[in-house]
Amino acid sequence: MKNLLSATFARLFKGKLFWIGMLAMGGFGAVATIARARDAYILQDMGYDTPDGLLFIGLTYFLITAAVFDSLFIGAEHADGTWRNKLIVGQGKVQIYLTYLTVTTAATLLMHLAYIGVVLGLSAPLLNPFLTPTKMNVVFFFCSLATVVAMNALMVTLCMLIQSRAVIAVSAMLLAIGLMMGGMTIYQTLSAPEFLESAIVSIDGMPMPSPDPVPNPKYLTGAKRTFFQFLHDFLPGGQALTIGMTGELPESVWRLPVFSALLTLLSTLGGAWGFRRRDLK
Amino acid sequence: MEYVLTTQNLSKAYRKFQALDNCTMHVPRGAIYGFVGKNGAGKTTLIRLICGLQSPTAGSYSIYGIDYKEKSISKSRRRMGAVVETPAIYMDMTAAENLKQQYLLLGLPSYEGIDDLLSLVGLANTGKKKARNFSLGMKQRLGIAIALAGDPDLLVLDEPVNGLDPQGIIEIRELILKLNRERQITVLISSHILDELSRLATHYGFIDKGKMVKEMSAAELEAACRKCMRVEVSSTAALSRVLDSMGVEYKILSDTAADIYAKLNISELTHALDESACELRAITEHDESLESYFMGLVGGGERE
Repeated sequence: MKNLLSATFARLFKGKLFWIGMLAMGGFGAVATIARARDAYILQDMGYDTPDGLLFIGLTYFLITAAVFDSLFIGAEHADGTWRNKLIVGQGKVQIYLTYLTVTTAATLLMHLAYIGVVLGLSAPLLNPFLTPTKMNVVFFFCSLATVVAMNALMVTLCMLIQSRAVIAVSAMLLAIGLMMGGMTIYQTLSAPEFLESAIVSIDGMPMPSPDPVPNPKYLTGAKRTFFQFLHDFLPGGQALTIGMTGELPESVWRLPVFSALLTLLSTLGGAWGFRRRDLK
Repeated sequence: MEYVLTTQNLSKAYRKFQALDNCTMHVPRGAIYGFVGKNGAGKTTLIRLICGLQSPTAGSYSIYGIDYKEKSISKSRRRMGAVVETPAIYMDMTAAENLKQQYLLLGLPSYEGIDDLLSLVGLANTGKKKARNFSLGMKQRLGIAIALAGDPDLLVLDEPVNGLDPQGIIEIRELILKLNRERQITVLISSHILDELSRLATHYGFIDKGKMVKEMSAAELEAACRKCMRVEVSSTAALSRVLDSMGVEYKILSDTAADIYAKLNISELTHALDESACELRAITEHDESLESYFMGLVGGGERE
């Protein structure tokens, strides 16, 4: 496996794809930070003069990055048939799977760090220091690493099990968009207020503003809320929103890395098992 | 005889389709083993199995005496190189970069030998040209160079001349002969281009519908490919009456041509034909080709 890792890392660093990914994520960080600095200049004293909320916003779009990178990097192996060279010289399918998981995990983590590094580097001269507690940023930073690993593991599973590069590209993008949209929908559902402050009620047949807050029918309770909260914490789309858009550290923040680890483990076990059984051409 | 590759009742089914059916094969050390079969006969399936790309549904195979289920099979695989169907090369890399990838994969200590390998396959001057811009013949030769990177004792080539122009076919043929003669590499080469194979192979295996029909050496094949007389006459109807009366085996090719599988007295034949008002226009000695032998073997043509 050492040889496989060495060859695959050499291909990663030699190819343009990884460096384009690094540039794209770093560029995204730069644009986001400069846009914040411009807002701070235009909207003075409106609370836009710090990098708060900026540090992890890249994570909410990271599924797209992972989908594009993994589908192209792994898809090339399917299209060029280069798995064969590895198998013919005696490498096992599980070893190959784990190698690609390791290399793409390293690559996507570096891309994520490129975004964070650029945001931190540019916000120091352009913006005021963080108002959010350092502890929260540190905890979210480690959670974000786990989320990136889980996102990548899911994409690797998909890309390893499909043998057509075109189908991989479309499927990975659909999965990324599905997870992002799903995460957003669940986030919005969970964020619905329990009571409506300015509801219109019927008093003597006349629509009137309610004097008291009215229970929100869309507010989830009981088992339904627990289930939605689990999905939100478990799926990488929801995790990215929690880390990227929550202004405070949730009590159950520990669930995020635990669920990320669980998702990584499950998708890797399933993916490696499927790839091992797969007939390669 | 020492065999580098043997298969025992090897079978592979894709759902309900039986691609390989109890196929038993023996590839002797030092041979160029021509693996002959029609399209869809199971040649590529067998090669995919022995290369570890797929698992058999039944039977077994061994490489250098190591059964495929043993852990040490990976060591045996290190002694083989293969080009299965299309050459497995990174299209966005140069020839040298592709070889460096293979060297890293094999854990070779340095890149020494890459230039020699490129020279051997005639790709020494490709420089920074990416593999995607190579001709089919160049890609095929790069695929063989990659297969040779680990200095293998067994080279497996699946239809290596498919789609190549005549010049490319000659280059690949000469390369295979050179590897076999100078480096003593055993070559398993599958093809349905029989004429090409007959210029290379020292041993043959004929496969049909997933089953090994026959294995033989080139010398045995030569003996089995019977010599015949090809005659041109004014009427093969009259010729067949004459040959039937003589009790001779023959094959009608057209209204005016036939192959006769016996040594006949020409004067007797001419006289008999003359009596049947049939004109004998030409007689030539003719060797049965590998092609017609193969067709006879797999039932593609019946002798009368």
